[in-house]
Amino acid sequence: MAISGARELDDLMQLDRSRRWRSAAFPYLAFAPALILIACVSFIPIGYAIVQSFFRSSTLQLGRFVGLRNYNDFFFTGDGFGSFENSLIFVAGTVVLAVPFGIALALVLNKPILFRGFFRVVLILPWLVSNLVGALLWAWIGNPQYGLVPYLLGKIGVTMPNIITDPTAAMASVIVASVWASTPLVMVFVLAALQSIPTDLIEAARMDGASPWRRLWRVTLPMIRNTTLMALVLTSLHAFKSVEIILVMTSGGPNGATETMATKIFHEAFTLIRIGVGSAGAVTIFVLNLLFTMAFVRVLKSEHGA
Amino acid sequence: MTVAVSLRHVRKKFGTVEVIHDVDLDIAPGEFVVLVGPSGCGKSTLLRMIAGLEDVSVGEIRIDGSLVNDIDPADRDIAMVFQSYALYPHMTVRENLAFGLNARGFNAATKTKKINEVAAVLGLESLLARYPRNLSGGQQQRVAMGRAMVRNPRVFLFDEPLSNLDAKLRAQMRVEVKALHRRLRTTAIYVTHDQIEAMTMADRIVLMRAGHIEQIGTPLELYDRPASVFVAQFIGSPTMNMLQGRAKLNNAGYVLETEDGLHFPLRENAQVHDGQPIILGLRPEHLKPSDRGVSCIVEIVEPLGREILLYGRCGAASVCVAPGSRLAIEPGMTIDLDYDVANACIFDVETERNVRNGD
Repeated sequence: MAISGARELDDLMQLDRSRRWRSAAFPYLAFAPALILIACVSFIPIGYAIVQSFFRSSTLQLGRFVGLRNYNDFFFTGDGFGSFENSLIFVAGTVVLAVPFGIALALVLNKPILFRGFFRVVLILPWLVSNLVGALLWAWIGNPQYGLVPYLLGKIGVTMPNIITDPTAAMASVIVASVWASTPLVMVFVLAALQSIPTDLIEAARMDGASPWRRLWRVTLPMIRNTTLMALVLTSLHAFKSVEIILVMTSGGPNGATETMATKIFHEAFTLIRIGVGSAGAVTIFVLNLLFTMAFVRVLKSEHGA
Repeated sequence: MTVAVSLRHVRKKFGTVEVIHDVDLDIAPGEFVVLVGPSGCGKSTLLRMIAGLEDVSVGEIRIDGSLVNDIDPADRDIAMVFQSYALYPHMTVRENLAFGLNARGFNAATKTKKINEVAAVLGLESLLARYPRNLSGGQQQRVAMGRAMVRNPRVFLFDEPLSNLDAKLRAQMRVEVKALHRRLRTTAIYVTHDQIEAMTMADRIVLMRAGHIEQIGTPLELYDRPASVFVAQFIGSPTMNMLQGRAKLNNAGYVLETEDGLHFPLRENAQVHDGQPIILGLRPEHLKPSDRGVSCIVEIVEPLGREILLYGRCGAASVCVAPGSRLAIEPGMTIDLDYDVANACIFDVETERNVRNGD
């Protein structure tokens, strides 16, 4: 009787152990498929690109090991640093315009205005349209021969600089297209954040005698600070990697005036078939974006810890 | 009488639905008025209209004699404590207190002086550098009150400020709010659904029901002379016993005759007529176990420590009795209940109004 009891207890403990193991393993099993997929399409290519950036390769096969020569070639042959500078201008231009526009639109759409639903849909459309299509649209609108904008400006006696031949106009035009494509994302993020602000807070500020402007600066914007920061980071990362808009509108020209790191990577890897040099550029962008994201996470954490 | 806040024929419509119907109310300077009623009765809407956070559809709201219907909340010189406290989470306690002062352009020295004064009164001195998320519910509540006090407004509005606190803290804060009011003597309008808060804090209670004012009076007026069945049942815990039947004139005067033939005596001058359907309202503490009166079978005895509560039946009617002491009564016993007819309320069945108030 006693022996049988002990055996039962032993069985029960074993059952308990197996149950515990299963419940501990469940989360890992649940996200394993996603992890494998991400590894295949993301981690492995990134790892391979890092390896490739140290080899002289013209195809996907690894060639000769060249150490940091590819990095040297990317930045010091041709206008490598120029592309870095252009990237900064392109990203800064996009962020500086898209974030305030996105916030402004979200603030307007958060008010009970007429046809709010309609405007929300219309304003989100640029985000749904592929960057390629958007870029074609803007290339057409700004075309010096038949574009709408030069035509309309011509009507009021203003001559628009040629976006194909004028370096400043070219950069401005790709930034405008990028802002057009990025603003909806900021708007959606900020709108969601605005809707999560308790109405009590805004009403308390009204009772406290704060003007609408003061309420915006001292209550609303601080309340959406983290979301805005996140939208800013995502917009920056996206703009830093953006290729389609520039390739379609200016192809990096005139004379490299709009060649960013991202388009230079494309040209190195797929036009000049210097995969190793392109990989070196890609790894550089990856590291810069990683550092930027880490800095952002640190800012967020310090805010929460305050 | 000078009036701090006055409401005349105030109505509020949301679309086609009217939620506040023709409300008239005068509040004296320094008075603590509690708007009480069940959920959806319009008490918070009325408070928000006084605050300026909701428009007035019809009627007039005056503060210190000035019409404020179209005046922005910021310019009404009133302060409000919200149910959620509505503290600015990204600001320290000091910055929360200073926010209203900054908006009104006080200089730094005055701001510091006012904040320190309020912090001393509310015991917030050691919390000034903290953020709201690092405060307990009670502390947040105090900061919310401090933010209202620091501006020294003409009127304080409280929108269920104690609802989020646990029962013990609520009782403590009730006393603190009342003591604070006694000290500041600022006109206060306080919204709650809790009749105990209303009874314990109010100089006058405004009891609302479905957008109407059901009765205005001191807590004891509402308790002793409720205008209607609704007031009688809303105020007081355990609730007033309601015995339904018809007025019947017998040799000793009018009595209430229930359907099962029990007789409950009514006061001599009761404004009823023979055969009139009425409801007799008796507070549990007014029913006393006695050697004469109406027979009651005790079903449940609740010991509360200081006293007991008896739940039983007089014929078909359920009654609750609070004898005020610990009597040796067990469930299943039959006792006789007596009461002073002067304490009994009589309501007309059709109108549900107190016939004494109605006469």
